[in-house]
Amino acid sequence: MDKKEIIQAVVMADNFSDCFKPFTSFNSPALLPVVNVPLISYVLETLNRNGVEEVWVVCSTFVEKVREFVKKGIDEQMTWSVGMTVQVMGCEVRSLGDAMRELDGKGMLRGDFILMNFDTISNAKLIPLIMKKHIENCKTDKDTAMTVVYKKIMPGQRTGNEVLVVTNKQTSRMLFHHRIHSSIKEDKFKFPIEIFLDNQEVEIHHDLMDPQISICSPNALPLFTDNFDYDTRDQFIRGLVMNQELQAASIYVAQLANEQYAAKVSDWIAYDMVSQDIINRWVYPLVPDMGVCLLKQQYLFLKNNIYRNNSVKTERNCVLKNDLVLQEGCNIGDKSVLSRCVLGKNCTIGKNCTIQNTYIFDNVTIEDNCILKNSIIGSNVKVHSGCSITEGSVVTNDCVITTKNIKGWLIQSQIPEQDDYSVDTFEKLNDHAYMLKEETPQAIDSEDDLDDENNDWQNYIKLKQQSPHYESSNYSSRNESDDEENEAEMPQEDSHVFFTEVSDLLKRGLEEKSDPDNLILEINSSRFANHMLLNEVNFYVVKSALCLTLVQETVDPLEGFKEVYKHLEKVIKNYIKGDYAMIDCLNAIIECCEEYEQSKPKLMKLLHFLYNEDILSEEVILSWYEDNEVDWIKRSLKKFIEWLQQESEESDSD
Amino acid sequence: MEFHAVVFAAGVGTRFRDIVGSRPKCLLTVGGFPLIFYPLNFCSKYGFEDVTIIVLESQKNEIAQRISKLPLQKLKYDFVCLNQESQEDYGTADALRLVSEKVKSDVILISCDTITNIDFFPVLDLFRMNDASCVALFDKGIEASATPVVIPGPKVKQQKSERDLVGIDSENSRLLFLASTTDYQENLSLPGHLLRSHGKMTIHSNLNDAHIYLLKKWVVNYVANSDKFSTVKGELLPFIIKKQLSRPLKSLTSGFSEVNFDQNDIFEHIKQNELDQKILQTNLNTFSRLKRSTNSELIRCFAYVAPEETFCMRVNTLLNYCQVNKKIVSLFHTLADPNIALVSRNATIQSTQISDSAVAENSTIAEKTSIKNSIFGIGCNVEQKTRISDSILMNGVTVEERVILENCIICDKAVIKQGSTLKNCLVGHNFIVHENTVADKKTLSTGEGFMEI
Repeated sequence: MDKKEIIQAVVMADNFSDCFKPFTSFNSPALLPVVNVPLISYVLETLNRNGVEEVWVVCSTFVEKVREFVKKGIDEQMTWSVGMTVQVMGCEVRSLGDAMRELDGKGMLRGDFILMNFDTISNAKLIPLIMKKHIENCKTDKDTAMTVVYKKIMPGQRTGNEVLVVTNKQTSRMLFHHRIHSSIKEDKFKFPIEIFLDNQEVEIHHDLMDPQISICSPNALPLFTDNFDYDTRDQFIRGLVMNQELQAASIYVAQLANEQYAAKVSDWIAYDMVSQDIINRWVYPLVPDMGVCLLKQQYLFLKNNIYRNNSVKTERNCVLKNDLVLQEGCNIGDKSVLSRCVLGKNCTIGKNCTIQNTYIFDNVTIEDNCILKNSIIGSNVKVHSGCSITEGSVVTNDCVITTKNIKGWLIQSQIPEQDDYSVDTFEKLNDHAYMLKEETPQAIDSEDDLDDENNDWQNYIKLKQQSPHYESSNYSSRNESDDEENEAEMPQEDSHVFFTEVSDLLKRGLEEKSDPDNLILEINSSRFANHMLLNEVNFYVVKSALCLTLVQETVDPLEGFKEVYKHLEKVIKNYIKGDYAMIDCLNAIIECCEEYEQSKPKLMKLLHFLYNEDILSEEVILSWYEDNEVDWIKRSLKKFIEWLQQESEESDSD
Repeated sequence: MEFHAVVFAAGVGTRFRDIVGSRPKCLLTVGGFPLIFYPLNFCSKYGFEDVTIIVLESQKNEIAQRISKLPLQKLKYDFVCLNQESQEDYGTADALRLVSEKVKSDVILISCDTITNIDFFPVLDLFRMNDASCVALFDKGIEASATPVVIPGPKVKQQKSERDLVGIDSENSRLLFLASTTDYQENLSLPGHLLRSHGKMTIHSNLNDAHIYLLKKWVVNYVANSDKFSTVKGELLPFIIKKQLSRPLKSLTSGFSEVNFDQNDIFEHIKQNELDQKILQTNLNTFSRLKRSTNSELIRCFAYVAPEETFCMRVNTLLNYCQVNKKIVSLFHTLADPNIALVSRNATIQSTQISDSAVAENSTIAEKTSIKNSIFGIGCNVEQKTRISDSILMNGVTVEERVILENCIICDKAVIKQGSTLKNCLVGHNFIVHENTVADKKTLSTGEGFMEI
């Protein structure tokens, strides 16, 4: 066969996020089971069905485990291994961009290739239409870099993977890309007017979901190499779409046909939705009874979407309601009621249990009279009798549960070994169960990597925050008033990264007493890498400067800040210029105060200090105070404002 | 009557004043007929027999006299006059306010400068089927490059025409957004709610507004009671389109309805009983089942985009005026009744070499002349041995012997003396071109009206 005709694909086996932590701290996320099949199998199967012949699986963590899995798959002749070579490439990459640069360096990809993530579950038929269209586009437009494949969804549905995309109606070329945040209800969308002037007909799609499938041209890889700041695919797309003239590269949009399914298992909420979609056969032929990857039949498909292995033993009075997957060797006790759940191999359920909407991995034992709702139970877990686990709890492998009432907790079998976790952050339930504490822990006064630690905490907390949605997320999209409440809790991705970077920089600068000019340069480069607006930069610079002292509870906030200010005066003055910047500065101070209670009483002194240092002008403070309606701010600043007003009157009379 | 037609004929043609002069714009010669013939003919063709024509008071008699001579049977028309002295500028919505008392049914608004051969029944269907509040008609427009037209007169810099941004939900033809490109500097911002409720919206920047609108009667009532609008296109339509997304004030503030209640809230004018609501909800034609919520919206605007092959043009610039006249002969059979001829029976034509031309009544074209692709208004007199091609001669023009005209526009009562050769020229009203003048790309006039070029 002609070499050119071989279709190649790249699968990213890392999501570079911690949404499935702690499961991902001891195994690759690619091997997380969804309806008793490791995630990556779905991707490989999809690629195989699309006639792909060469696949590179790129992973940076748990390379050996992935390699072992692939090798085992080939040895056992899983369906995807037929006619398709799979190679696992382990490399030290921290983002998709890194991986693409690595691939570009190796030069193994010859033509157009399919790029997918391990967490995409789809029955898409890419080759006949979308790939053909991509090749046609490449012929007419030499600069075609990528065709991004989207799936149409109901408008208003929010799973966190939705995008707002603007395309040219005739050519489907992408003109604008905006990722819709699952918790923000946008008031307005802004589009550059040129989009509409330069294109006769422009389509605005607000009904698309991004399952992370794309078809790349050979020239996509060098683009990653040339622009070392492109880390994620979103950055790549946005970078190319915004600088179309500069980069001479274009991105096209394709939509999956209505009957084709695609979704991304991006977090536990999506995990639940996708699992139910698989059980409800939307992803046909990737359904349990067809034996994804395996040639033997594992389940019998019974009415009410019950998939049951032959070896499953059920007592006489147990009730199997609907949407169930029961794997080999399961035992279900008398009078237990099961609906919407997945049971792994060799699970034992005792008597009188109620199990709803719960995903149970292999070898789990649940004793009598337990209630499990909307939760994830890792493998080898033992739940003692009479326990209830509800409201989006996640129980990791090897735990033993004796606590009676578990609501939305994250439970690990042992405290993670890394040094930077202190014992206090977990509450010991018993020798094999430690619960992550609810409240934000105070950071430990450790010398190095303070921010890294904060980072980790953020991710745990993220999972926590999402868990309450778990129940309501089943199928029906969350209603929009819910979203608003959570708006403030979720930091924007870019801004979060930027904030940590700046904090890092300032901290190091402080320790090493480095030149403020260099710090400014570094902050600016970080700003452009993260697409920050100027006012956001102002905001975060001030905030990180404040947080440097605030995280150390023992230090007096004001004195600490004065100390910091001594070194960073030049940096802060560089950013806080003009009235608008002062407002940003004030907002940052308020946000810090709200985050760290101990600094609230010092607000007035802090402002006074900044006023004396000429960072803030009295006009701005006064007008800002006028507009402000928050109670505690009004109260604590009253004296200061009165004093300021007097000052200004005096200076007026002079 | 289901529809009451309102024709706006009070425009003065600010964009090509030199051609229009002081006369009513609606009497400009297009293919041997005055401009207003075309919208009126459109009305009679689709059976809108009640027509109200809005004119300026000072021009009423002239227009009425001219219309009475047009071959429009069955049409019952009356006039509403705008008094120029009482108000400086009447907008289209101001005019609509004056007509509102006469309106007893839903209305169709037509601008007098729209010439179209569109099949109007689908537009009416769209209006009826969806119980629409408003339907606007758009067309793709003719690509300027497709038919290069040399505009007579000195070369003028082509002004970049103002374009509209029209947002349409392509699935159900809902008109969701209407604005002019000049309203925005850098960014176009759209309400998030609009995009959330209509997953896919197409924004066109290549559509021309045909200035034909179908409006529900309550919209006219609303305009009559509100003084915040002066134009239909620029103010009223964008307002109604925007209001589609809102809900009546009353339901939001029930209980407090007395306080701050706007007497003239737009929703006050919508009279929809429960039965209408139910009919709409169960109507299979309206929308896909998934979007049931949109049915409960009280205001529904729609857009109809004319198919590609349709001819639709507004005669509001010199360029369009030239283009229309070039095309009118070949298109005339699609516009008007076949009994109406482009070459009037009352014209005296002795020439044997005349092709693709329109000649109005009382014009005389002598023998031994060659006429190609030209338009003659009323009472033109063309003498022997002339050669005229691609030209427009308005009313009462005299062309003497041995004159050659190529791609010229000759305004009313001008005289071209013998032996002249004019190419790409504009000749003003009452102007006399002297014997043996040779000119190319010039404007020949007495001066007054032509200053703006």
